[in-house]
Amino acid sequence: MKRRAALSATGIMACALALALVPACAAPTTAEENASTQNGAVNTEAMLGVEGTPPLQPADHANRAEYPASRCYGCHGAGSKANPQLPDATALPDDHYANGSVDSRTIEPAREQCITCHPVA
Amino acid sequence: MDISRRLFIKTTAVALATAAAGGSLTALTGCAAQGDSQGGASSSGGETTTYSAVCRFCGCGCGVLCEARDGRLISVTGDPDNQSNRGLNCVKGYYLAKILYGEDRLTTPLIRDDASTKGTPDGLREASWEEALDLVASKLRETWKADKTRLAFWGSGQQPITEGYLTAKFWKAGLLSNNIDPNARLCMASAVVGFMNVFQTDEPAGCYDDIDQADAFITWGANMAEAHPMLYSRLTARKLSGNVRHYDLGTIRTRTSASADKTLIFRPGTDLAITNCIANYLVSNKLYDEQFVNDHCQFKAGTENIGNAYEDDYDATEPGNTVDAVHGISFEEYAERLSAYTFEYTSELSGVPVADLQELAAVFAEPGTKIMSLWTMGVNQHNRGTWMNHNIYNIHLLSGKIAQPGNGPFSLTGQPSACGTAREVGTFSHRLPADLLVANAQHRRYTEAIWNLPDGYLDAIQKPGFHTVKIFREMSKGNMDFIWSAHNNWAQSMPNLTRFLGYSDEYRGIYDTFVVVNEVYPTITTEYADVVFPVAMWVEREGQFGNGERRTAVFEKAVDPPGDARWDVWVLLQVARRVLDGEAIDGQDAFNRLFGFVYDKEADDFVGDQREINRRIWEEYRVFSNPTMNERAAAINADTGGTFGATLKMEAKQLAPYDEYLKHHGLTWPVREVNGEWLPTRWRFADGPQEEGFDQYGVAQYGTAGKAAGLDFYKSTDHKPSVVFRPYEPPAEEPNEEYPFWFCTGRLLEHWHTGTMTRRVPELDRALPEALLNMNPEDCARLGIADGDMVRVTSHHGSFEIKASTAGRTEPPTGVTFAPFFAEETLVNLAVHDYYCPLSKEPDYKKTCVRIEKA
Repeated sequence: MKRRAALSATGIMACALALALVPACAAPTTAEENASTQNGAVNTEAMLGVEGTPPLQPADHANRAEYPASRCYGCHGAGSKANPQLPDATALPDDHYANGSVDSRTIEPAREQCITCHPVA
Repeated sequence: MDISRRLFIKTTAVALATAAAGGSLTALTGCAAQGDSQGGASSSGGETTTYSAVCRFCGCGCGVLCEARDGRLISVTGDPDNQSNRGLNCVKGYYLAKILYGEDRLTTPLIRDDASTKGTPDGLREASWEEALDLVASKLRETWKADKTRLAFWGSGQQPITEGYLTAKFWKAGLLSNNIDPNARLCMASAVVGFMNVFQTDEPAGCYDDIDQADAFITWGANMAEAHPMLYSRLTARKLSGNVRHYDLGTIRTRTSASADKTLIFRPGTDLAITNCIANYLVSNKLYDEQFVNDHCQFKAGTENIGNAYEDDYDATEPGNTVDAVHGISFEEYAERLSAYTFEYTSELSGVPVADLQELAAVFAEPGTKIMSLWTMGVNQHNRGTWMNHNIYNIHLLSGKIAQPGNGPFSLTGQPSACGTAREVGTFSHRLPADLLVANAQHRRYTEAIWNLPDGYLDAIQKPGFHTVKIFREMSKGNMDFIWSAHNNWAQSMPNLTRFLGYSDEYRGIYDTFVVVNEVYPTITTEYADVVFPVAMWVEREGQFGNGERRTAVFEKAVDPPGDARWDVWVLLQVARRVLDGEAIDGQDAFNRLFGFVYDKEADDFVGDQREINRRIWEEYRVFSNPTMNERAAAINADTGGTFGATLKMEAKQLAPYDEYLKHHGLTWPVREVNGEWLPTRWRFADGPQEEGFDQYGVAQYGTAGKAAGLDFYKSTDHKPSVVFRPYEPPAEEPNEEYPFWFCTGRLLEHWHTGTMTRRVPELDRALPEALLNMNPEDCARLGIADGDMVRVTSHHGSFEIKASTAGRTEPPTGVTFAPFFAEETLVNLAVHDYYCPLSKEPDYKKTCVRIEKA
């Protein structure tokens, strides 16, 4: 039962996993690597098999974290003729738009708070 | 934050005008609701099977769909058929699958042979189930036979309903002990006592659908954006729909303040005065709903100047012993008591500008405006938490804005089954299932009927047992010999840990108490355990949660638990079988009498699979709200003999057969059988078609149609809820020269409670890797503290070190600080006091006075 020791030993694996799972995010910092070892070791193999998790916002979005979805649209929005506004940005999927239509140019109201599912990491 | 549709169009138009064409749509697969949503498990191609479930984190109670393949959970998405969330989810919910796969899952029973190793990660050795169960049973039986006051079970609002029900039955009927309490005492007890005092029934009249219809929201000390994210999404969606207002009241600015039209920052504790100020405005200007008040309200006052639980014997003192006393007063007397709460006086007391108070009060005076008040821990974890619950109901009752679509005071729940398990099945020290009380003879007779016990058998437990703080205070003094906990991490979540964890020589009782812990991961609590039982986690077994809108939903078993981890029910019954060996009830083997319907003692096995066991437990529990299923219970419910002088009206919480919950992905009680269909109720006490969610059958059975707003509060005494005058009384501690700051703790979005699950998810850990002390920049400048400096936070009770930040999630005003409690390396509860609301016994985690120094 050497909980904290065990956690430290697997910290590197945890960070590698995080990188693999969150391609849209910036690389974790050393501080983040350390932090992820505080409370638990991750079963890398098992976690890699988990699908459908929302990507986190990259660290350089920290000052935009609390923007409403309407402002995120500026870079991440899409229409049938422009997907998305900033070529390297991750596009909002169809179901984030009113009626599931990108051409509505209206974010589904219940998805107004991006950070509810996409915190900054 | 302006989130109007106009701004959206404006900003997107600009973006479109400047957009560079190109790029490809990259699906954010985690954001979409996926999978089918058939009742029960379903296969959707290949080897993947989909199960319906409920998120195991906050009180929102979001339905989720779990996909399992090759014995592993591979995805979790929002369940569009669950009417609480309709497919919505938050980041914790999407990452649910990963909480199962921390590498350090507990898979083998553990025993500590040397108590001196407590408080360290060492000292636990692996053991067989037989050895661990025998040891725990012998210690429990030994304590039980010697002195029943020295044992306790501490349960949880994260315990599934059937598990909580069976645990309560073992403790109350098997051991004849009321020393069982849930961690819901720490989050919802003030709401519970408020409900019972005002309405004589627990849980809200309204539902989450009110959010979609309200014209104005008032958040009272509730950071919904972080603590109830799905409901906050619904709130902000409603705000986008048009002319909807939001007033956020609190002691700090939070992410929830971002959507508010106005944020009212008040001095800690003065929310009591603000609510009385609103009531005074309505009453003194005759702007209340007179017909509603005449038809539905009675007025009361109660014991005042009740002090605080500074000393361990507070409950037995004169003020502590009389805190529940109330007496009737006239409307005029109520008005007179309110009259001191002028805008000017309240502004001076609270620090909220007069104009803001006037604006807020005026909203309640608008006849056609539908108002939803939402509150949670800021109100409940309050040295006058019950009073503050009363005061919110008071202004909604005076204005007639309650129990109608879009109109309602709504107590948000802290945990996924604080309602379903802690409150509804009676795991509190003073309760029996279905709102029944141990102190009430009719309630005990009713319970005896359903548990097939002799008349009078439960008279042995008519005195309530130890509440949570009492349990741990007694433990710290060496007055407890046996404590068993499940589904919680009390060594991190309890307040005043400096005392309870034996950091001082005066309180070393934890080292002499035999501590048993059901757990899934190593925690601080397991470091103090003498025995650790490794148990199944979330969808590794079947269970049920009851959420904040009275919705009961089943989560199906989707995967097996790892290693030798076992279902809590099996663990409980194994211990019960051993402890009750040789005991009899009315000449029959006690274990068989209580648990023979689910467990074959001779065969030492369940009588069916998990679905069947859950169904059988549920069907017994369901009798509490369906008295006609038991002839003896039906007679007591109707008081046919006239023994008690009152009917129980148990149908007010009517529950449906187990399989209906699987079929519907959850139902809100009372659930009524209409032409063979089981129909939920969304608005209790509101007359109207059951098919549309109104309480047609409840009002028809026990109420009278045609009263104001079409309501009949048929569970309330004389069908009238109580408007109880509750004055402002100061917090248990106030800043002084030695401890000049307020310290407040709470939850943030990415982590659930003590972080034992969410911190094992790399993405959630990276998103919120450490707990920070949020401070006002002026305070930092005055103390010479820069962002990132380590500081020591010290209270009268203990201290901890933490990194300071002026750019954290919250923005405290000068003199106020905040830090979350998820980080075990920070352990903020070392410094938080354990003074509790004298009525509910719920500790005030929000108002500890501290000093802050550079470490």
